[in-house]
Amino acid sequence: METARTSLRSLAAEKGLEFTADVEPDMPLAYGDGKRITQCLTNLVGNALKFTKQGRVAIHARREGDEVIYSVADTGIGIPADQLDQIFGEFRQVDASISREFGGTGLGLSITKTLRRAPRRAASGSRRARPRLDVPLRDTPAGGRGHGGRMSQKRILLIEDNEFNRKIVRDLLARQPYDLAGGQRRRGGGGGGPARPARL
Amino acid sequence: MIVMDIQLPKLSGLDATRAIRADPDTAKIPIIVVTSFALSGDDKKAMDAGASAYLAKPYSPRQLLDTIRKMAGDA
Repeated sequence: METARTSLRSLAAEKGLEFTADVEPDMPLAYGDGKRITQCLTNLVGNALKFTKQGRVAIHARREGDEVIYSVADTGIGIPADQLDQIFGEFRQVDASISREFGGTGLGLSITKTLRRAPRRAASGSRRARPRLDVPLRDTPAGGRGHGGRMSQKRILLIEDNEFNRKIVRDLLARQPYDLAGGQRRRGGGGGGPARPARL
Repeated sequence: MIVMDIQLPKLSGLDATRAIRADPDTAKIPIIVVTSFALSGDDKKAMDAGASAYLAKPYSPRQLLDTIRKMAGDA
């Protein structure tokens, strides 16, 4: 949520919109597929920002049982109630005049829907859709050790003085669940050894 | 985990490995030593210095990734 917040705030500021992101205080430390969740949130909020000319856009995160519910509200043009069940379809926008005015492919929400594990309808009966994203919570990291441990997020310190070799390792690990340190240019290439790395 | 070239400007990777092993705070960090000058006996020197694994260049990216996974317990 922090990642989504940072990238979306500047977009909102550009349009002069107020943007808030609240997380309820009782939110437990939870694990999920951060990349996908961020992508979904960015899509939903990006959408809200796009169709809102003035006013505000807000994300709210709260816990409901063993799920986190993210909801997005805006003061934008809204979606007519009779079209709510269509907005998650591919290439779908409310009507042709919308795409002329706002542009876009109409794919955003359908990608978001595909990414949601358990697709649910946007929860709103009124004229304003409030897209929600319900994410199942886990209290331990997915995978962990052993097969499929894709989220272990172990830190790797790379000590290599040759930029070409650093780039190879950076590229190699870019899509792996490791947090790479030392992949950037640094004087001395680690001369003197690492200064007490915390958890490697 | 540390992935380290054995040939560094100031401190050799072997000395760095020994220093990391000597410090109780860092002694248990897995260290993968990579080298571009693979002479026979280098692997033994690296392991003696305390490396957890040793890869001689040219190694394939796949080999490095497999080694990292093994060290991370993700293999």
